[in-house]
Amino acid sequence: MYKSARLRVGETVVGLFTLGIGMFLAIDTWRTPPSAAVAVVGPGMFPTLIAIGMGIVGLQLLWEGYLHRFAEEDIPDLDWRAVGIVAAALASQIFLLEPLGWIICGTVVFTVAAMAFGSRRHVLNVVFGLLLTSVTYLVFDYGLDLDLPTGSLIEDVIAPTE
Amino acid sequence: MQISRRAFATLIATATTAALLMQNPAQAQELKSLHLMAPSSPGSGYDQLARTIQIILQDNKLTGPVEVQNVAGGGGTVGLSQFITTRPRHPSGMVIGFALVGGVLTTKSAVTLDQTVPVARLMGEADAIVVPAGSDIKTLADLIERLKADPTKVSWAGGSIGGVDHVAAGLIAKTVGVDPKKINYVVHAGGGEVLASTLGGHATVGISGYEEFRAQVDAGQLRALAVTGEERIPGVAVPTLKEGGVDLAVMNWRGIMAHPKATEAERAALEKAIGDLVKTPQWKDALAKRGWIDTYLPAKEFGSFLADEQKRVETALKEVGLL
Amino acid sequence: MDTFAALMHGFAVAITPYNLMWSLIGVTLGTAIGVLPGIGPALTVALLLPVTYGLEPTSAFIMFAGIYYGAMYGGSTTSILLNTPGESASIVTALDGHAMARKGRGAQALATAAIGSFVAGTIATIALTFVAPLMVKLALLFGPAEYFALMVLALTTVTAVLGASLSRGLASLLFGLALGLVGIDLQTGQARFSLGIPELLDGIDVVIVAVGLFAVGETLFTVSRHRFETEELYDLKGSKWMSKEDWSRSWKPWLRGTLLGFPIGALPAGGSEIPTFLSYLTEKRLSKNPEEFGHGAIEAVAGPEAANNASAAGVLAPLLALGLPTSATAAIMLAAFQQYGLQPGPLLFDNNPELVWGLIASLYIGNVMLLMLNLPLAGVWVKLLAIPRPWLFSGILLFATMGAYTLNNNIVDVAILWIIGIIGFGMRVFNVPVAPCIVGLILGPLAEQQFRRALTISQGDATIFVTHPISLALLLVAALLVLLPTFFRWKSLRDERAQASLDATHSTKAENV
Repeated sequence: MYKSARLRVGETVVGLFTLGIGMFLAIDTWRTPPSAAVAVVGPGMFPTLIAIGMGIVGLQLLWEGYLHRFAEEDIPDLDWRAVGIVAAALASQIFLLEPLGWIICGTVVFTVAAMAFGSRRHVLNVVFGLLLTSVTYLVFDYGLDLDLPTGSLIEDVIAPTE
Repeated sequence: MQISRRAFATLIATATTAALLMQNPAQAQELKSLHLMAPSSPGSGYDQLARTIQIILQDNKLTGPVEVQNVAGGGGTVGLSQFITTRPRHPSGMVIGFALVGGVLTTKSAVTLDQTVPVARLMGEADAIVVPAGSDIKTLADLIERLKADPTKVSWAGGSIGGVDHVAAGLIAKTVGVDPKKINYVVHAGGGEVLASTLGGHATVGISGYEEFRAQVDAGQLRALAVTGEERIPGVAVPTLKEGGVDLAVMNWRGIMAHPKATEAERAALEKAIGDLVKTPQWKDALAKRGWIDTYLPAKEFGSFLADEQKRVETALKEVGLL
Repeated sequence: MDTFAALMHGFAVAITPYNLMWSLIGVTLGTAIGVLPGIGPALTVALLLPVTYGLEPTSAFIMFAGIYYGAMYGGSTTSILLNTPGESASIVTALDGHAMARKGRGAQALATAAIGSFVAGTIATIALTFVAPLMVKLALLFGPAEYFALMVLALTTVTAVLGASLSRGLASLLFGLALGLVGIDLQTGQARFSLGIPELLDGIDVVIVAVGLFAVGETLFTVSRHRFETEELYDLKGSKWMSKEDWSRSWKPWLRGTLLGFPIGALPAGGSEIPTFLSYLTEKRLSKNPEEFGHGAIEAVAGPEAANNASAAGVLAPLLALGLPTSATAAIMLAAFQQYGLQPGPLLFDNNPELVWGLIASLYIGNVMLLMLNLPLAGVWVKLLAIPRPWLFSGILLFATMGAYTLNNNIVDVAILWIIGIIGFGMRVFNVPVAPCIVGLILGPLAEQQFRRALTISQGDATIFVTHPISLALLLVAALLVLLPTFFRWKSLRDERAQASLDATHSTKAENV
């Protein structure tokens, strides 16, 4: 396993991420106009310290990545497709939860995630998802007076407003 | 498949509309339900008012069921923006107050109170300035003397920046001729922490709603130098700022706004419900128990008060150096 | 023994069938909401306030206290079984508790949590009965300087969770500290790193980050490894009950956790997370097998769970004696007192002895009820883990989303959960420990505020941290905690090297011969 010209991926990714966040903190702090309110220690001190810390740790990680460039990668085998599917299902909630409501959206996530985990009993998954989301909706919205996202297709029907 | 689903939705929509139509004429005068937004976490001032309103409206059958929703964040502006932008499923109202007027300004919020419709101002709360019983500051005059000598030597424990406590402290300094930007104001998260800081003698004075200090003042562990309202709090023998020679009155207030998309009838019904609410003995009782002062203003007067208040708060925040 | 007589009178009030019923309702409800992520005791009490309006104040408070204690018990359940902490006080429990569950020891983890909670709850309630006034006097000695020192001490917990690579552990800590900066700066009102999103002005909620890193990140990692793993997770191994060894490893952490939890809970700005951190640190430092920590050490469940329950009792000390709320739930209970026209504080014990002592007595009863409720339930809950993997993990994702959404009724929180979840997945892939991030996120903002408050009061005089005796003592302990292990490691490393070079010279000599 020779990857001579490259840095080891693990350290490099973490290092770059840390450096990136540190740089964001530094630039944002530096560009914020000083507050008009008096403060003995201003709002910029802790961000500056953290940014410096992230700079040092980020560089250290890159250096470790360089030192270990001949070592074997310590990243396990990953099923990227499955991760992508679950991540996409969760992301869909951000946009669909409020328009479609908890029951439909939750069932979709449940079914898709179960599929990514290798379940092939799709119909059963849908039924089970519907059951779980409906029960939680009723418990939360009625029993506890909390607001789960309400869509106009299902929730309004099983739990009409008035 | 496509058609049947659409047909199903139409059927449901028709059924729901029909149900609503059938019920509506029967109780045209009264709100069948009410959704109240409290733009802060449970237990806070807005939340307490919202839940008091909820109980009294329901108990006296002034409206149908009332639901309170807490959306905290950004000095109340997160709740405000959610209130304005969501399509209301119920007739809805929102609890607002002094802090939200300031919050809209300091967070440079994209939504403002002008996008909502005033319903009523309900109550007010005076701040109190207190020192530990052992402090050598005996009166308001002592405090002012210290403040004039060196404003940085007097540390004020108070609530959030730009809130009523901060504004009151700043305006006191300004009124007695001290630069309000120079005051040593120490922000605490909530009245409990202010109380602890003052009782423990970590700050020179504490400034917060009188109720936060009442038990300790009664027990003689704290000394109240002044209350910040126009008049004394009923049943409390603490002088006002004016009596102490500082020509100033600052008071926290809270009121209720209606949703911008509310129909004329809904708004009228809400105004009437609140108008009836303030006449109930239960409301008078709640005011007394919580130390709130009755400052009820109906919709029109509240509207003009709010317009003035927004200008006043903006000036005050500029003076303490926040804007 | 005036207190004792008053307490007996309190029992007489609390033990009526009517009040016992409210206590039972309270603890059952509390356990249920503790299990559900996203809603905590604060919200539940707030929701119940209007409902209890017609109730006798004594009965209402007996129920509220049951909810509060019950939520502390229930909070550990989802942490251990689903890696989804419902409240910030049970985040630490998830670290080793869930590791135990993965190894098939979920029942033991739940049992040590429940019994530890009972032991801690009972001892702390005794402390509340007899030393509350003293505790409150001590608590008031804590000013900003002392709090800052306490936060620094708690931050040393990070040394116990850094993991194998120092730089990765520090990267995680710094990331947590950076997340903690987001939002309006309390002292100046300036918005920091909020990217113009109003929902970020109040900062990023700890529970969302914990659920994102633990539940979502872990689920993504599990699905990515699903095809490659043959090992069956969660299979119950052996008995459901705690073994003799489990007991002997648990009882000391229970007591030490109580000792940390009660006084820190009584501090006006102490909170329930800090004692759980300190308990974890203490147990790891005292353990004979520190390498087990993070992989399912029972001490790391027993200690922090005892600590968070003891802190719940601690919180009641300043609430009853001063009218000083030190947690969100206490703030709502204060509001509830006011609803009944009661004024907690120095005069409450004199004016309403029946209520106060009835409430305190109900805490003892509630604790017993909770133990009877939770111990048998532990066996039932672990059956959840027998659910087929696809359903179990899909269910975890649903609960995580629901928790994030209901926290503030806000879709932005769901988006944050997603982003943090992806980052959490990345951290698992690249071997970055997640615990330091949580420690940084919780303690960073507290430490910063107290540090700046202290310097504002002293007008920039930094000696305030060393001239105050309590602050100085706490800082010295923190320094020792960091320096001593470093020193020992350096020493053992030096010895090893000396040994190694000795061996080397021997072997070269041998070759030469």
